[in-house]
Order: sequence, then structure tokens, then C-alpha cells
Amino acid sequence: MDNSLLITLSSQNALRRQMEVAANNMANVSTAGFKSEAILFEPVIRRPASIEERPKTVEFVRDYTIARDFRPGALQRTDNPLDFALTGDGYFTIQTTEGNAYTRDGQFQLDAQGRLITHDARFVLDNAGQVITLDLTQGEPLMARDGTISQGGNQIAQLGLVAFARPGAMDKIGDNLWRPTNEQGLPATNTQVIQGMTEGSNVVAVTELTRIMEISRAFESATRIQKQAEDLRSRAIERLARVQS
Amino acid sequence: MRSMNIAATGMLAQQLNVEVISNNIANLNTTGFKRQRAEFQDLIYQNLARPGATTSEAGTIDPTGVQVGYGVKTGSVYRVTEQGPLTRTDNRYDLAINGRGYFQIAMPDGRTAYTRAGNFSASPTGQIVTEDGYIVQPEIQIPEGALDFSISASGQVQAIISGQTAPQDLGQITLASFVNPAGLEALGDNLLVETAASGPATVGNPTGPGLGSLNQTYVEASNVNAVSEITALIVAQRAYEMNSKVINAGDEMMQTTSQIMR
Repeated sequence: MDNSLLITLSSQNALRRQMEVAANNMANVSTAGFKSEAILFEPVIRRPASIEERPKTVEFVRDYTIARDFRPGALQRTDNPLDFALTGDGYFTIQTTEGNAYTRDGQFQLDAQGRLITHDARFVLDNAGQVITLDLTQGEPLMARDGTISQGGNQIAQLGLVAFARPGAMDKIGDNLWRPTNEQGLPATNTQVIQGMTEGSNVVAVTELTRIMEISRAFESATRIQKQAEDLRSRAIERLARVQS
Repeated sequence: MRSMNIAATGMLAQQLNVEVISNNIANLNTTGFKRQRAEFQDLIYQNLARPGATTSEAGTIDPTGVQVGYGVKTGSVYRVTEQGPLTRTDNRYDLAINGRGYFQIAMPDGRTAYTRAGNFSASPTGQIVTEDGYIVQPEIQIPEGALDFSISASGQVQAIISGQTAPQDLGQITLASFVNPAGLEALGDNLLVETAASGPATVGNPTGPGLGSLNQTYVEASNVNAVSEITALIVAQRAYEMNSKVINAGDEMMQTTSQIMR
């Protein structure tokens, strides 16, 4: 009886965390460049709490990793010359105080000195790791598909577009930024930049809502098993007590 | 139940999104209005198992780890400074800027405000003023005997005075431009003021480097696109609703847990 309680408890813990991940996906349904996530489970085979019982081993559940969906989000036309969307698997390079970070969110702005920044004032870097400075008196900046920015016919800079061999291993650090683990990015080869568009979140609200209902019901049935086990136990105590007397 | 808090951040974000969109729609017919856009960012992640952590003595590493996010926040509300369509009004005092630049307005408190709304009129003393009576800088005085006046694309104001054959020069309208016009602070009444984010104003004659041209008898309409705003409103409203369903589901999970207890 202890086993059924403990196994369902492990499943409840896993489901609760799965719910948190699904809620985070849903909260980021309008976040540009957001990639949806799902928790993966694995069985953990352990000896039961009471070894006289059968089966000899029991399977608990554990959430061991997060799978990220790297499919592109829907592109949305904004006609803003400082909005850039990426196709392919590249990332923009962003300067942070703890080294370079990477993002798919290309909704950029200019600061008071004309430097290209993200909306929380971090610098966007070019392929040489330098800050990009635009002079709007030279006309609208034009972005070529390969990330080359030109103004008034002169090439200003080329965006630092980077791809990773193991994107799934990247660390999300918030503010739409990513940081690779044990890996150096390589110049992205199959990535194109589209000006005047943004990449939306790739969260599919319907799928996410279905998953949330599923989690909610699975949690309910795990709880029901706990209740039945608990009922069984209290009945057993009642009956056994009756035999003793 | 953290999922409820996460969903609440989603609802707050969508609420702001709806507020920004409704302000855009409300200003569909506001002269010189620039639409705004809410931009979102994911919040920090809690690392329950850090990616790259060692998982065995043999040196195998966790490929992804378990990171659980805390929801969403508003990164910024960005003003899209896209050109609005020019509308003909046949009013001599109406001016539209085609291209970059802002009209400079002397505020009653001594500050200079900037606007794209060129639906000006005349003060009792003949100066060109805004709808609120604030004087457009540099000051242009239309003399009493003027039959007509014209403003050229480069901002030169000339008047035809009765009894004179040659038109009389009245002055030059200048425009201000900013490195980052999205960083200007809106005061309401179509007025914007300079901030540290916008950078200082650079004043020049219209059609000069980096400045647009003036069009007399036109005004610049709002750059809000009704169809895309309504679409965005529907999406935001549904996203709000779905986040509320997540709170419901989280609540149900807690409810089933609490029902075990007798």
C-alpha cells in the first residue's frame, strides 16, 4: 500500500512540473522568438518500500530533461525597418555583461547614439563582435538576406548570425536570451534575415491547452488512486481490529 | 502551485497588450499618431538540473537539463515611427511631414515639445499655432494684409500682400530629428518630449539630410491599421482566455489534492 502512495506521489510531482512548463509556454504565447518546451519523463526502477510484496521492483517516474521545439514561429509583417526575423537555425548575437548571449527575437531599436540595441538596451553585435552604429540621416537601413546592413548604398556592418550544433543543450537565461553550454557558435550558413518582419512564438495554443487538460486529468487519476489506497488501508485497519477483539 | 502564478503573468501581459491595442484603435483618426506595440520577454528560468551537468561517473552529461520558466514580462512598449498616409484638407494652415522629422512646439512651461500633427491654425495675432494655441517654432507671423501664404517643401514661408507684386518672405520652418525617435516620451495632446533615450534634437531645414519634406494643405493621418489591430486584439483576447484556463486547471489540481483529506 505504501508503494501505491509513493508511486503516485512521484507521478504527481512530475505532473506538477509538467504543468509549470505548459503554463510557461502559454504565458509566452506572444513572446517574439519564443520556443516551446516539454518535459520528458523516464521510469526509475527501484525496490519497493516493503520487500515482502510483489512485484519485486516498482517503477517511479522522474522528469529527466526538457525537450525544446525549435520549429520556426510564424512570421508576422510589421513594416518596421528595425524588425528582423530569422529563417533557418541561426541566432542574433547580443552583448551582455556576462559575455555573449543569443536570441531569435529581432525586434531591435536604436539608442541615443544610434547603436542597434534590443528592447532592454543590450547591444546587438556584428560578425566581428562589434556594436553596430546606424546613422538614420543616411536614409533607412536596408538589410540584405545574408545579414548585411547598408545605408545610402554603403555597407555598414554584417550581423553576427550564429548557429549551434546542439541547440537543445542551450541554457535559457530569460529576456529571450540563450547561452550555449560547452560549445562555441559557428557562423550560421543556412540562415536568412528578413527585414520588417518578426518571428512570433512557436507555441501552439490549442496543443498546449489540450496538454494542460491532459495533465490536469492525469493528476486527478493519480490522486484517485491515492484515495483508494488510503481507503483500503483504513478499511484494513478497521477489519483487522475487529478480528483482534 | 507555481503554474497559476506563471499563467497570471501571461494574463497580465495580455491585458497590457489589449490596453496598447485599444489605445491604437482609439487613435485611428488622430492626426500624426504613431501606433504602439507591446513587446514581451520570457522571465528567468529556474535550473532544476543544469544543462551539461555530469550524470554519471563515466562523465556522461545531461544534454538539456530541466529548466522551468517563471512566465512572461513586458520588455517595452515600442512606438512604430512608420510614415502615416497624407490626407488632403485644402486648409492653408495644415502641414504634413513626408519623411523623418518633427515640428517644434513651444510649450507654456518653456520646454520644447515635438509633434507630427501639423493641423495648425492662426492665433489672434497671426502666428502659426497648434490646436491648443501653442506657438510653432521658429515663430512665423502671417501679416494682417496677407491675401495668401505658401509653405514650400523645404519650409520657406512666403505671403502675398495686397498691393505688392513680389511675395514677401516670412521665415523658415525647421524640423527636429532624433537618433532614436522611438525613445521620445509622449505627453498626450499629440506632443512628445526629448528623453535620454531619444538623444538630443538635431534641427535642420526640411528636405535637408535625414529630414522629410513639408506638404502644405495636407495632414499626416494616424499610421494605425484597423484590420491588423483588430486581428491583434482577437489574438490577445484569446491568449488571455487561455491563460485563465491554465489557472483553472491548476486550481482543479489543487482541489483534487485537497479532497483526499477527510
